Amino acid sequence: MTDSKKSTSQTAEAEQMETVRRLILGDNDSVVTQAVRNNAREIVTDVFSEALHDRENHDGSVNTVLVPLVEKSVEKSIATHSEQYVGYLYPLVGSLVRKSVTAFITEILEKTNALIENSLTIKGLKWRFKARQAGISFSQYVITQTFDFRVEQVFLIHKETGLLLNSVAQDLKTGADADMVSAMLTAINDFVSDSFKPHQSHSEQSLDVIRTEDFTLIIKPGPSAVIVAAVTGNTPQHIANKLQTTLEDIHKLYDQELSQFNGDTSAFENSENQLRECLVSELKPEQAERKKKPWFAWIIFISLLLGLGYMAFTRFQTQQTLSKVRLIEQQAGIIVTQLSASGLSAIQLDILRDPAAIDPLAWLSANNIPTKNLTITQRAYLSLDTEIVKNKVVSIMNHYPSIEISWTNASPIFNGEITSLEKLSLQNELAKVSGLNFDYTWLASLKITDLEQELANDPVITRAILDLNIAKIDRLTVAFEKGQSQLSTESISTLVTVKNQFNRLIQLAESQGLSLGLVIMGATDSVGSAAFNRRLSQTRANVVKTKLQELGIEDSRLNAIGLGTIDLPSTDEGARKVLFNVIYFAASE
Amino acid sequence: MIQKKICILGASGVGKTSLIKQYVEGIFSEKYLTSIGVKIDKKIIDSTAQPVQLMIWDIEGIDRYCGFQPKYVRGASGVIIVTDTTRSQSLVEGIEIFKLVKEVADIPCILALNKADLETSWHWSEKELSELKQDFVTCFDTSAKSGQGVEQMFTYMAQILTE
Repeated sequence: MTDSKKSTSQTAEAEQMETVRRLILGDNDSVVTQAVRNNAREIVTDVFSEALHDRENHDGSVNTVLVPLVEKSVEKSIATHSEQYVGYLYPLVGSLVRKSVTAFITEILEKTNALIENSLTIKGLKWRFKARQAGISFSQYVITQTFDFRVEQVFLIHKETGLLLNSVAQDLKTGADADMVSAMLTAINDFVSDSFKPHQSHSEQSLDVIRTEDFTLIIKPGPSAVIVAAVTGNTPQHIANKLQTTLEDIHKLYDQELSQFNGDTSAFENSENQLRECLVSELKPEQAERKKKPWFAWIIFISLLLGLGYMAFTRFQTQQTLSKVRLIEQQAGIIVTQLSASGLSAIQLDILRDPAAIDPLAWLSANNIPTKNLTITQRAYLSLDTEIVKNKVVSIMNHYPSIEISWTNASPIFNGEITSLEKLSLQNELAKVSGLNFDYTWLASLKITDLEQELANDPVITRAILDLNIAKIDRLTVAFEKGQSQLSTESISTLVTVKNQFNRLIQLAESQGLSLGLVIMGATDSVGSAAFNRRLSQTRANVVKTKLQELGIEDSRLNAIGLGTIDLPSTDEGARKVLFNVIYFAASE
Repeated sequence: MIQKKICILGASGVGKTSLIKQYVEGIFSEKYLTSIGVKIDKKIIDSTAQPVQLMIWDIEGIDRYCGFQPKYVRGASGVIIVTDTTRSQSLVEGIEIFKLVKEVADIPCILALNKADLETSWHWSEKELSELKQDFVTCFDTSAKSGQGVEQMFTYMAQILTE
């Protein structure tokens, strides 16, 4: 009973409590919620940044939430305002590219310079020798010689445990394990501080500097961490100061991490930036000066550039000259058999040249082509080029200034005045020009200036004309049938020509005081007896003599001779004839 | 990576250096031991939940002529005290060292009963031994000669230090 009473009163209490709560807080706590909601903005504003910071420190979830949001909004922003972004980035990217290119070229130049300076010079060789003597690598030796000082490596060591928190190094490889070095350094420090503790002193001793021949270790102890720098060269004071301030900064920044250090070094990864600032170096004055002007590299670079430029220019010039020289082929009477460039600027030109063609050297100089590097080999040939033939004719005509030539295609027509002797020699010369099919009609329109009287006045000319005409008669013959002595119609017309020419000559010869005679020589083939043939040959000569008398040549000028057989091999067919020979002698008074 | 400093301590001649030699490829010459009284080696252990790098400080044998150098133990996360089962005195000295360590640092200590390859010839009864062992985290029978228990001991140390 009492139990049930108790429970009833408890229920009533709970109900009352619920009523009171509802009165104060409202239905579903709406009063409180509303009150908070009214000031929500102020409340959140007050603690927003701090709350973010705390939550991020607590579990790092703020970043996890924010990163995708930021990424998305940046992505969207770029997609919609890409032009603006290009505008923002343009100057940045441009200068970045410029800087990186400049840095690249500078680096190459410096490397080349260092390589040349250190490898090819006497100093370089000396250094190499000394480096070997000292038992260190050449690059290490160069650094000791080049730098006034250089901080090679910086360690940040946890003071209590001697564990390495972080370390940075120049490119130089010391080969030592940084973890071990830092532990060992701590041990040595402990050893020294313990071994050399002055009496009654409670202050802890600590190593400050360890110096070797090449290295100086500068040790800066702090309350929780030690910073150690390995320096080559003469260590200036400001390095120690720099280390001190860096150590102080690190203590400030990593105060909590240092005091709670449990062996996890990942918290100190960011200290690399501070440590790297301690990796300073200074060049030796003369080296520094020299470094500023990498003369060697520049000289080599520029001379290489000039050399290449010169080669390219020369090659270009040679090609230009080649194409100019090739045009010589267009000249008549010249055939290029080979045209080639050898070496940088030498040109070989092999040609076939007609003697009447233009001189190649003259052509080259007329076309302003330098002949310095040009070797010409010529061989003669006979050109049938119209132009060359014309040239030859023109050069012949130089001897006959009174005559003009006009060309119809390849045929010349000569106009002007000329003596008959000149005409004869012109005729002779033209006939010799190969490629020119000489035709007598070309000379037909020439006007002969010398008269017969004038001719007669000149005995040399007269004699020459006489000889020419005598030769014409001498070339004539009269042929007979086998064993016959009758004249054919053809033979009679030949005899008419003989009579005309001979009688014309008589006058000419007499003007020179000469008397003309005509020897008529009969001949037979070898058929028949010698006596018969002698008679037959005489008969043939007589027949011709009689006929010529009939035609009108004085008997006193004619003399018929029977030659008999002309006893030469292969004269059978041609031997049955009568030959003529004009003779002249001084006329009797 | 987590790094931990541990110290190997013990009387002279109990085989501390040999134990470590069995375990790591040494980098520094042992001459450091005689010159400054300490030699340091490094070993990375991957078999634990997260890899841990042990910096093992091998400290010169401690005897009546050479005092304990507490500075070397400073900052250590664990200590291995090595004794020689062929010499009763080595355990006495080991316990002395253990007390000295406990004075300067409250860190886990492991007892190594070395030279397990030889027949036990000290005058400690099992009862006495188990009483002494109670102050240590654990106890390993080790042999630098056969390698018995060495790896297990260091791995165990790494485990308790990273837990």
